Amino acid sequence: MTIRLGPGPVPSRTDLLRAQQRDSLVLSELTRVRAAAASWRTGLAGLLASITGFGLIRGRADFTTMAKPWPAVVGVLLALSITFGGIGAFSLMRAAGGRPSVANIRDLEPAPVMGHVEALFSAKALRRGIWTTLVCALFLITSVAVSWYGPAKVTLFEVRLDSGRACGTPLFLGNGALLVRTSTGDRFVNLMEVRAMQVVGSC
Amino acid sequence: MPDPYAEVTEEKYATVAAALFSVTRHPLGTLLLSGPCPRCSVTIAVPVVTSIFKSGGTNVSEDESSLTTKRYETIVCNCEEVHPGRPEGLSGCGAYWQLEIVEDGQ
Repeated sequence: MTIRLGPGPVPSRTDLLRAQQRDSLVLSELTRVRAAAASWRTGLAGLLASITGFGLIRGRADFTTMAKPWPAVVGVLLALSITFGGIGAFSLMRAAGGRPSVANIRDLEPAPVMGHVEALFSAKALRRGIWTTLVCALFLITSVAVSWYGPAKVTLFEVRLDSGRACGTPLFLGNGALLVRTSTGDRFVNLMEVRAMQVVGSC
Repeated sequence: MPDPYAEVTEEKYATVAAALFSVTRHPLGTLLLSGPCPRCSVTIAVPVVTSIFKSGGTNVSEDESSLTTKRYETIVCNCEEVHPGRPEGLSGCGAYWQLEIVEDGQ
């Protein structure tokens, strides 16, 4: 591909002003994107810190009391949150400070181009950092919400009887009988027939 | 004594610049035009960009920011020489002209 230059029409004063504005924006571009990245980094770090603090204060401490598979769901949400948070933090640092590298002096772009190219790469990293950090916050909030409102583990009882066993969730106790919801349906157990009763993890 | 700063253009500026300037292609659609300023003769390098960072607004897609086959760019001298009367914050001698940039073989 070749690029040819030719004389253009005589520019107007408006063309001059637009060109001066464009050149000024190009000159300040890297400084502006770095400043924006630093501000976003600070703001998003504050947002995450507040969410994390709130979650630590109010989140469920003992996940063994949650019904399966909700502890695993919380774990997956937290893992996703950490993954997106890591990508977001790296991208925001990349945008704010650049990627450290040692370049071959022969491969260096000319100074007027280098700043612009770095600014565009930093802007791309900044945009990626913002949305990944927000997704991280969303996963974090969701995981805390699941830990709050996820269903608690159901206590299962095994009742040993003269004539076998009944295992399930106790629904009602009274009038000398126990109503147990088993996998095959609700079952009344005469307490006089009960020989042993224990809490079990599964039926 | 260098020329005083003056925002001027002449038809010959574009003709001279088109003949003497070289152009190189760089990443992200950036071109670098370099050559002597037609007014003050100082060698300058002017980046010609297709997209730029700004806060707010919508994001331009890479297709939209790609180079078109033919376009006009206003070039302003950006030399660092001292030109009396130059306003604060500006560079160059004040000369400006417009170049046609044509890409072949796309």
